[in-house]
Amino acid sequence: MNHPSIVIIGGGPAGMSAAIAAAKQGLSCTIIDEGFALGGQIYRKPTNPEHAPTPHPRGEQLRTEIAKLTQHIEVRNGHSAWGIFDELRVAVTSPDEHTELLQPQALILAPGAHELVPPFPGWTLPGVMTPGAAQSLIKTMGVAPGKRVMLAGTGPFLLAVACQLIDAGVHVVSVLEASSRPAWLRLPLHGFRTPGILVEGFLYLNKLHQSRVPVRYGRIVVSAQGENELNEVQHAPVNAEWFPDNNCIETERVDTLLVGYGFVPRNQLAQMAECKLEFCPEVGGWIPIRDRNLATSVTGIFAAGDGAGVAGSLAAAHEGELAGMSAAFFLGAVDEATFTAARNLIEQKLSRLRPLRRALDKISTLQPGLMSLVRDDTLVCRCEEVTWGEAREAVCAGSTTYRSLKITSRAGMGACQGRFCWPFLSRLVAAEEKCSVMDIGPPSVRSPLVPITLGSLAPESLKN
Amino acid sequence: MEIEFILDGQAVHCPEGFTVIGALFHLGQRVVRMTAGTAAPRSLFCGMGVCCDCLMQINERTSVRACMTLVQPGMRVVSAQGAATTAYQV
Amino acid sequence: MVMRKFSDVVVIGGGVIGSSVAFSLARLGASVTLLDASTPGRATSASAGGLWSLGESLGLGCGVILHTSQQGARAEPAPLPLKFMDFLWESNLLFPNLATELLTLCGINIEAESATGLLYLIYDESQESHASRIISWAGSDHGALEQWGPQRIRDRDPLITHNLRNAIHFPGDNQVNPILLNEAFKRGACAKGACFIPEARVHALRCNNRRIVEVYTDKGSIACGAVVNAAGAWSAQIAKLASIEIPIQPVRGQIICTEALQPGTLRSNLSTRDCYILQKAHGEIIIGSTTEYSDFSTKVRYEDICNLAAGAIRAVPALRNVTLKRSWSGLRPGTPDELPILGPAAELENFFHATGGFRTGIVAAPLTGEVVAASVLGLKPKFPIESFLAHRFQRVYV
Repeated sequence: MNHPSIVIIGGGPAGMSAAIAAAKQGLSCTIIDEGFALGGQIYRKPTNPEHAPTPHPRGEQLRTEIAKLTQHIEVRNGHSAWGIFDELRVAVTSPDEHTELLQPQALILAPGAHELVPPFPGWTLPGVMTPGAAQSLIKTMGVAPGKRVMLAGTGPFLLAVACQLIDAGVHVVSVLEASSRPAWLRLPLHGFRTPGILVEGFLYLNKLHQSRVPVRYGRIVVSAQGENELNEVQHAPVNAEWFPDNNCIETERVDTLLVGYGFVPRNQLAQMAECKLEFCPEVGGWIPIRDRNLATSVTGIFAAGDGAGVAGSLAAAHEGELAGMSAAFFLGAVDEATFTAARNLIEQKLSRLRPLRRALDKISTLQPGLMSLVRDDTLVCRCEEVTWGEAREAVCAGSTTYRSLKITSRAGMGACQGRFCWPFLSRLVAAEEKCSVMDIGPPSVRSPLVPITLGSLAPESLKN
Repeated sequence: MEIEFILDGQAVHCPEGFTVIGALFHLGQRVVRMTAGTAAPRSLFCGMGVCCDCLMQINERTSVRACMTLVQPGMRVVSAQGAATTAYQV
Repeated sequence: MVMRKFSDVVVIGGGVIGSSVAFSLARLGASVTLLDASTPGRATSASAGGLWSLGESLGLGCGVILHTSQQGARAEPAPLPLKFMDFLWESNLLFPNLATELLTLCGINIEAESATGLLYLIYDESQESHASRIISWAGSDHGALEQWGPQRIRDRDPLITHNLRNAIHFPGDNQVNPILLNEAFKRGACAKGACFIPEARVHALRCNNRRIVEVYTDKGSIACGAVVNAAGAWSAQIAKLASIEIPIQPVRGQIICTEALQPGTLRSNLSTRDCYILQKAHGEIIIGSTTEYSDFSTKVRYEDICNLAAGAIRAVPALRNVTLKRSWSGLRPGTPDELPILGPAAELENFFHATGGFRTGIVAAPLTGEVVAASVLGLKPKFPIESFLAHRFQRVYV
């Protein structure tokens, strides 16, 4: 199927919901997903069911629904969409290195988000990883990330992962939450429309309490040490702006540190397709500008889910459904009355989720204290091993944009194309230049967005 | 069901359906490679194919994301020591 | 960075040419302000950094690639005029001393390699006559071109394909890091007293009595004794602000590069009729390039990425298993005769061009800086620039 009506990039809750919605209107869809099975990050399917815990029922439901719609939905797992070219052409490479150009009539971007980790001394040590990385080990294979685990950062995701680790028998030492306890205690006031989510959160806290895993509020990790791997972490109490009190540093011996301060939308495909972006730090940073139908500024391209603004898996599913319907409407497969009715219903569901979401975002807003963790010899670009001292020297010599900084210091020139370093590097540069983060701009993107071999682009004849 | 594969020249085993990174962690090896610039050890970081820290040499391919690759029987996995190389090391 | 009120010379364009001119001027004691605006597509940052004074002059590199891609073109790419070959040759010779000087002055190592050389791979019979012509074009004074047989090629670079006839080796054609060269010129100029203003877009030039007296940017304005137009692909737009017309056109070049590979993976610079291939000091292998007479867009096309990848694998089969890290494109400043536009504009007394570097901007940068600086200050340039003056086009225009 080289010319499906709709290509959906991303097989998480948003992508799956979009495919289901569009397929129900009779449109052919192809879902491109890098994972081994549909589900994205949150609904990962075990690859070794024997060792892994039972998967999330919602993920199973969605996968089952898609399986029932095979006459309309083609699923390409393990495939990477690494470039968007003229006229909605998407370059996709398969696990066995075949590259193809798909040309749909509409494109739905649902790539999700990745985690936000501020640079700090020792953050590149083996054993320091994102909570999502640990979650992926547990959910798919029941493999532990380490023996003594600490979690640090902000947001309810830390609690969820801590509980998954406990269920898997992993020793969790503590969870450090940067925001204060009072801020969290006020949260239920905003959750009246989504009591289910509050209950979930309460159950997490309860399990942690039962397992005697302390949750310590108003604390952040300031540095990590180890020879070849992590073996020690320093943490300190922080004020409202998350500046650590370095007179009260505590040391903890752990071999695994899961650090996550929220999520960053994966906007690279939208950028490559030249969708206009806007800077919304409350939902993770640079996101494509969308209209009410979730259409981007490029005709035929829609965006849904965390990849267009972090709002959680429930919102992602609703947005996915809306994007699928919008694409169907755009292609004339559904009439205006039906579409408008569906859209209104979805909008109501989305608005119900908003109060709690906004309150959560507010609590976990990045505070300037995180920037103070970086020293001159701290790596700010993991891929190219560029220290803050080197990057700052380039900034002072006139490299004040992503392009110029990348070119002169090599920060952002690595394989991840600035995905992990730029959220903080741009803030550091903005502080240095005394301008706003928005003025610094997003990183520029280059295809291929993921590592592919040269061989995957060459015709068969050259492969021998 | 256990699968046999070759890790840095040694035959090792892991359960079926494990990713390369999962197999390494299961075997007690977390260090995945040494960087090109400062020969610093690196490991799993994001677990979802974005950070490109877990790159290993797998069969003929110089750099493959270990967290996104399932172990296959007979697979040859090498922890890169520095920059990628086309000269396959066992 | 605060703009000065007055500078002897304002150089518009902080690419490799502009910063080289600024460096030479500052070295000679002139007060210089270097203005730059980081527009996507700057040729310097897109370039592979090959210093192929001989190779490019003889139509290799981008020349032969463009030629191959145009079906039905004449038999072989023609060489550039001898005068320009000499210019590039002279400029190339400046690199070793320049590298030392810049390292001492601002601590930047421009990674000027001196032992790579250039190998032009001859795949089949149809290239043979081209090959023998190249050797005779080069002449004896640009000496030491040699034809290498398969064994010698393999001894030097085992990863080069066995599927070829022979190759021509150019010993003096090496490489540099074009970005570090640009940065080093810039910082070197500042070390000698120049003022560098980044993100300053020039929107107007005030003229009085056939002299530019003030340059207006979005960061402020500056009065000047002279102006140098080193705006690369955008030089025509800058010249227009002074009511001058020059035939500069953007010529896009797309490039791809691999992940960093072990040093010594590829020792020679390679030129084939499909692409050129260089391994940079950092380890990445750069493969380029297209030559598209186009607009100012810096898009990369899927078909072109595939062609470059195929060309690279043909020359170095092991590259098929190597990761493609990124692709990008830059805009070269093209001229109708492929020669640069240097020296005074006829229309004004104090407006000088330093542009039109096309595909040889990097290797030409050191000498270009020196001759344009000399020209601006009324000194005798160490290499004659009469052939490169802008008025050579006026016969066509008028």
